[in-house]
Amino acid sequence: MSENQLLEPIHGISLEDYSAACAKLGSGLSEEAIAKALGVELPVWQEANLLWPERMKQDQTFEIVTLFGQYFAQAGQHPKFSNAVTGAAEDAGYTAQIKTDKDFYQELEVARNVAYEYGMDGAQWIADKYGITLGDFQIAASKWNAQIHTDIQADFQGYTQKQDAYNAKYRQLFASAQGGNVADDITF
Amino acid sequence: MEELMWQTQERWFVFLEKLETRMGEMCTAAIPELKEIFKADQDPYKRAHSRMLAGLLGQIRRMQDQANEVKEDRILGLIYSLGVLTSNDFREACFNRHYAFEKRCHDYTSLLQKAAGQEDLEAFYQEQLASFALIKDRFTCKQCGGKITVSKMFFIATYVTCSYCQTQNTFLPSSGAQMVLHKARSLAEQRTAHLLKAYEERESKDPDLYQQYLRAMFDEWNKITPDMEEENEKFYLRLLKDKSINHL
Repeated sequence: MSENQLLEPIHGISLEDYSAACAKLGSGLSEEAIAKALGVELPVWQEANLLWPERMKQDQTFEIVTLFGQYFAQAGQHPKFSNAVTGAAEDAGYTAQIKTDKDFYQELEVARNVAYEYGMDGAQWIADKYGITLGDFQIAASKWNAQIHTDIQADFQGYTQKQDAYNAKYRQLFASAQGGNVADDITF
Repeated sequence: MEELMWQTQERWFVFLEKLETRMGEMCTAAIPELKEIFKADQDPYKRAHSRMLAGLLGQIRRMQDQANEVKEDRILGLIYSLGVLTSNDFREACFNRHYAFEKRCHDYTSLLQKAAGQEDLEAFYQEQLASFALIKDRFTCKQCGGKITVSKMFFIATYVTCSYCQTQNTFLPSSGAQMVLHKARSLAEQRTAHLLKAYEERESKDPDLYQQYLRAMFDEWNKITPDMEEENEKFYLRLLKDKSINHL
């Protein structure tokens, strides 16, 4: 058990509760629904929502941030949110795939970044095309990040090749949709 | 061979110049619109402006990619194929021209990033204070209907007790007031930017000047959101500790 006092619950809301709540907020759950699921009133939730990030800022060990990431990725298993309705079918179709298929996540992460480079809202593009909410995307990111880091260390070249291929694919896709890049007609 | 190098160099220069010209045209056309969108965007996070800026910066990066691909294929390709026969003048001229192109990309990037200027957070804050002054006496108790005066500006949902029947009422701040909480640090930074500048402009970094800035910034931050003072002070101590380690 950690002796870090900054991990003490705030108004009864533990870091696990808070992390899951943040994931659910990103998936479209309202603050009122979050408070209800946690069994508190809105002012209590909002104060906890204000103070947990403060604890993270104060924590020089980064333990809170690390645990937050872990709990965030496990938000789907949090018992207090098992009955909370987000308005979207959870963990079905692409939403389930992004949490079980690392390559799919990596491809969509690149697609999202390239979409931003073409002046689009990348997160919205993913929500529109695949029905994956920002919250679920972030849950997948929390789940895969450590493993991707290990993959990079094991095979940097393979990782880079894959990223380059995804980049080329989505640059072409978004550029075509916008009638090409500004300087495509300039050649050597 | 000399002729081939000369022709390649000429084509390389013309190619980069065309890219620079296009980049200039794009930025010149975009900057007024970028400013306008920033000004007109009611979204507190200015996302429409951010997306447009990201799109423009993405096009600059595509031009850099184009230049890099040509450099790899045509310039370095020729250097590798000629080996020791490559003249130093050719190599130096081509590399220097590419360096100048990259610098131009960097300059245009900065120009676009700074085009809209900073959001006037002071005006935003004063607007919220004025709005709060107008509504603070307009609340009534949900239980007895007694008049409730909200004593100060709150930034999150808060319990307010009725002085007549002691019922706890929930006060929900406006979305503008909620944004004050998120913008408070940036506003404090704007108010104390001159102190940070004084610290950064010194060649040898003076920890006292940094502390002077940090203290002033946190004082301003605490003035804007006094309820957060206790938490802010803990964060202040952490930043001070981090910085003192960096100054060692």
